[in-house]
Amino acid sequence: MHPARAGSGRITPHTTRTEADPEGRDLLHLEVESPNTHLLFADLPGESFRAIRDNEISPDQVSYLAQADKVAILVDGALLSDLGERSFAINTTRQLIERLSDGSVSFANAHVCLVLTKLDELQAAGDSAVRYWDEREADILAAVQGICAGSACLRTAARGKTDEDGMEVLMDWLVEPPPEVPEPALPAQAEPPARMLRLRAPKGLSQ
Amino acid sequence: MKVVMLGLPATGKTSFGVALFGGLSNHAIDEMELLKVHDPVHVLNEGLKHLARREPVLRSDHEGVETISLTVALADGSEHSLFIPDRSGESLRGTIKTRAWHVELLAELREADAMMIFLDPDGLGVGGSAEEVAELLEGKDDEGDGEESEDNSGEGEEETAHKWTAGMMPTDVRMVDALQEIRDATHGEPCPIAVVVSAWDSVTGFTPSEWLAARVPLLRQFLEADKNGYSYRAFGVSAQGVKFKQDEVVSDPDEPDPWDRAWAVDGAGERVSLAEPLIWLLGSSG
Repeated sequence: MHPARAGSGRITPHTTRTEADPEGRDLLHLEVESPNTHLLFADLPGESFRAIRDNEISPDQVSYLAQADKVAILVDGALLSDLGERSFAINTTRQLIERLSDGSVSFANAHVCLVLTKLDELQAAGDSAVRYWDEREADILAAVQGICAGSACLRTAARGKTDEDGMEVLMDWLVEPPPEVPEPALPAQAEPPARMLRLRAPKGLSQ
Repeated sequence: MKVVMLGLPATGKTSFGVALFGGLSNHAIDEMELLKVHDPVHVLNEGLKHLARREPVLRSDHEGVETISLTVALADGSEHSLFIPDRSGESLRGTIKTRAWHVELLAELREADAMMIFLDPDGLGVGGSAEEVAELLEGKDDEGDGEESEDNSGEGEEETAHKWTAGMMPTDVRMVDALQEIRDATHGEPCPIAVVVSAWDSVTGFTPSEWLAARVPLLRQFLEADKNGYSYRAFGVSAQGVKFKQDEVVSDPDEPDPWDRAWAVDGAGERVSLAEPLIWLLGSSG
């Protein structure tokens, strides 16, 4: 992250590509609102998601995906602004969503959303570039909603100048508590089976 | 359904597979819905990237095979598994040239439920017509017992005789040769064949059926002959949609996506879905 900071001394910020950490340090821990709001970002290499998209691996082979409370599916606004690349951005996004829908990972207990990144670059490319995305967003969002009903599309620009960079909305989405995971209901029986009794907390530990 | 795509190198097999996959993945084909992808699709996605940049899809691997393995649903609700190996045309060319089967290609043909024959109108090897051959033979007879004449071609031009090789065969002769060999090698019932004339955007003045009759007459006669038992349909397919220029840069803000740019026509020249050759094969393979 250092090259993206003012302290790096660079004239322009630069974000290096994520590579797999040989020591497995692939979680970024941020406390964003005190107290008790901790975010753990899985900073995984894009290669993992390319492999999912290309059907080379199954989504359940990617670390943390099954445990995630929040899943953001990113669409690269810079690619969308390039006439020769934009269909690739659409195609790869649709295919990634399709593979994530294969049922190997359940997103029932997660918030999933579509995030358009680099909105500033898309807008700088002109109205036709924005219109290209406008005409496809609803269809792609519908596919995301097939994974997680109620998903939205957030348009963001992490740097650059846009009237609304969308970062506040993104942050709100991130800190919104994930769906409550309902406790599995116990079968209505007068005397629970012995196996289930053994799983209950000892009296000394209950409050 | 196992489909073998048969064609010489650069006849549009891979481009068709890429455009079809792009259309299915992006819900651009109403008549066929993609339900599941079974094999890695990296090569297909890379091909789509090339089509988006108006670059031709080229195969770099002459020996390997990329398989398109999909489960699809048709408009009538029926579900089908498609298994389509995309093998380099070098395997067929080598088979014809050496008169020895490419082992893996033969195995695929023996298991095939259907075939697609790809022909490139721009790269077609056209032989002389029967009339021309008759004239040649007649002329030789006039010169006396087939003896070569002494400089009767006029103006001092010399024709150099070349020893015949299999590589000199016109395209339709090669394809008929291949079909005869396939029939002998597979010992099976003739499977349905979709004859795909690729780069159809470059053809004018013909329907695909007319084009077959005019440009590959021997192949058409072979397929039409009842005793050969083949059922076939002709299609024209433009996987690129248009002919790309050298080093072209996409500049039109209304540039269609590659799966929307691709198109196909049936034998009569009527617009059909890009999936129509496969839909016809699915309905014909029993």
